[in-house]
Amino acid sequence: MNFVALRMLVGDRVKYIGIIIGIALATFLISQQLNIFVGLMRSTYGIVTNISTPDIWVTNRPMEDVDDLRPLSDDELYRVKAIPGVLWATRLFREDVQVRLADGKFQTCLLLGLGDQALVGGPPKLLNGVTINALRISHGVLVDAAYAQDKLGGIKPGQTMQINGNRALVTGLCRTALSFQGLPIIYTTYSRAANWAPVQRHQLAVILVKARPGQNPSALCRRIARRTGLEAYTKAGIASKTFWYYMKSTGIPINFCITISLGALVGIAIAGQTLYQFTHDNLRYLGALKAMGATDFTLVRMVLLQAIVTGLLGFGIGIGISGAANMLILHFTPPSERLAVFLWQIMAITGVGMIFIVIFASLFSLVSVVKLEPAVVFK
Amino acid sequence: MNQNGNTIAVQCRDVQKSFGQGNAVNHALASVNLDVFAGELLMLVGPSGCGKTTLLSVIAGILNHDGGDIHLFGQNLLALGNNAKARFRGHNVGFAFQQFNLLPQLTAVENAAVPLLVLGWPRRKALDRAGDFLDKMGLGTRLKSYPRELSGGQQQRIAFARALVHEPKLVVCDEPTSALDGKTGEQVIGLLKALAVRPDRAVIVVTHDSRIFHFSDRIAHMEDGRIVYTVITGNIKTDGEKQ
Repeated sequence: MNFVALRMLVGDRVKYIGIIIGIALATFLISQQLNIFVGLMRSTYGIVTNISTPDIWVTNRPMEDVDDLRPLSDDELYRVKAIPGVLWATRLFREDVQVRLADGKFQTCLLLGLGDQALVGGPPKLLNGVTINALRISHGVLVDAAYAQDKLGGIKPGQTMQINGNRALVTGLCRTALSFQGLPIIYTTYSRAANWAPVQRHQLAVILVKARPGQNPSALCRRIARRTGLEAYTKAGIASKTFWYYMKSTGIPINFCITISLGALVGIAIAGQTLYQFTHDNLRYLGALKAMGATDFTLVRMVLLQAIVTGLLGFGIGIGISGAANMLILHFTPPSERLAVFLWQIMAITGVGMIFIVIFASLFSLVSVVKLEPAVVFK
Repeated sequence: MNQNGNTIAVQCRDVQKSFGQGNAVNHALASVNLDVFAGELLMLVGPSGCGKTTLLSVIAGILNHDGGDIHLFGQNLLALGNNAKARFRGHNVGFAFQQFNLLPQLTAVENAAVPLLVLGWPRRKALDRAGDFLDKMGLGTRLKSYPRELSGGQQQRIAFARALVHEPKLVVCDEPTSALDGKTGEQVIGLLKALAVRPDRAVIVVTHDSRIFHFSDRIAHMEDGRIVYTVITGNIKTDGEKQ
């Protein structure tokens, strides 16, 4: 009977296309909003992504999110280094600074200072064959290529800018993850950053720790916290803490939730109404099938098959439009503002969601099919 | 089997069916007693609203009766649950409807194959069998045509093919000629009689159309929810009926 169900479906082209358009629209809305939401939430812990190598982040307490760090005393570095299981520990400077560009304009940037000796924790990707040692050049800084182009006046290696009145020489370009605030990221050495930033009593933002081989990072975090009274997180842990801080303390999730729910409602409304109309228009024929021996289960299966087929087709089209929209966004948006992502997990979640939507939308149809008296054929 | 040796295909005893409640109750079937024999074409006639279609529906098992007993080839319909009854209908009852009820999205041969598909036949086999049936009905050249492309008479022939393709023991037809002109109506009923009536099968036709009465073996006249009398018009022999 699957054959009959599908022929009935595609035979009524107006409704068939109507259902698919409804589902495609809902898929597009849901997946697009999810893509932006995930991209935005990922950016909340962008700094964690942008500091490579260390396993553990040690911060002063209390710490709500990775952009809200209370400076530590320099002594803490040695206390952390002394804890068993720590292979190495280094300082990280983090501060917002004013950068004066060549055209005289100012741009607020995020200045990250890496421990002078090892320079560990640098950007995840360095471009054009540059190494982290480029920071050892006098006044050297590394800047993100996309930000350099979009927000730092197209500055190039070999050119200079002023950070809080201090000369900084761009010695290389790198690629970083977007930050939530959208601030260009500048890497330099810890001592240089500390000199350039406004003077404070303590300037150590984070102690970055590498665990010894065989050490469980989570266990080491607990040990550090117990012995120092500080907070210690694995890389995933601090990203997660920041993520959930934004989830709980900002209106971002609720706003996206509203938009995604609207997308789902559009899908349910259009698909449900059209599917119901489709089933209602075919009740006489479904009654004839029932009279001819089709059981309720067979008819329910037929309606569900019709719903799922239209759901999958609509989903495919919707996700295709979403992908095309993402390509357009990539093409027309400056790299430093490309928040949206396009993940297979989002496609899968949207797909499962759409199947639930069409099944939910077909419930009204199913009720009318099950309640249908086969004697309707003689009326 | 009755005393004349006819196999009783359908046995109705004191069958009652009402619609509505309280003062608005309508006793569609007051007390129907009727035997339909295998090998006969019985026409149910009577004025509008007398209960013909209701009786046809309860006999075919698509409407539950309130009281009395109906046995179809020995099977008590009330003893079957909904799904069992649906399966019983699928195997044993063929339907032809007043408005044909052909699925507009299916071709002629696909429509005729529907009862076989309901029974779970493989599509290819079902379509082959339906194609052979339509060939016998003179529609061999219109297998791929959609209902909208066919005349009323051709559509009714597809409906008959659909009613017969799975070799049911009982065929029920509701006003099969009402949507057809006189000549076409006679042609399709002639075809129905030729193909449907067999010693092991009963055919019941509800009709107002007196022009096709001569195709019947018996006519049962209904009034006010009762069979008032039956008339033998063909070769069937029954006990104590008008001849």
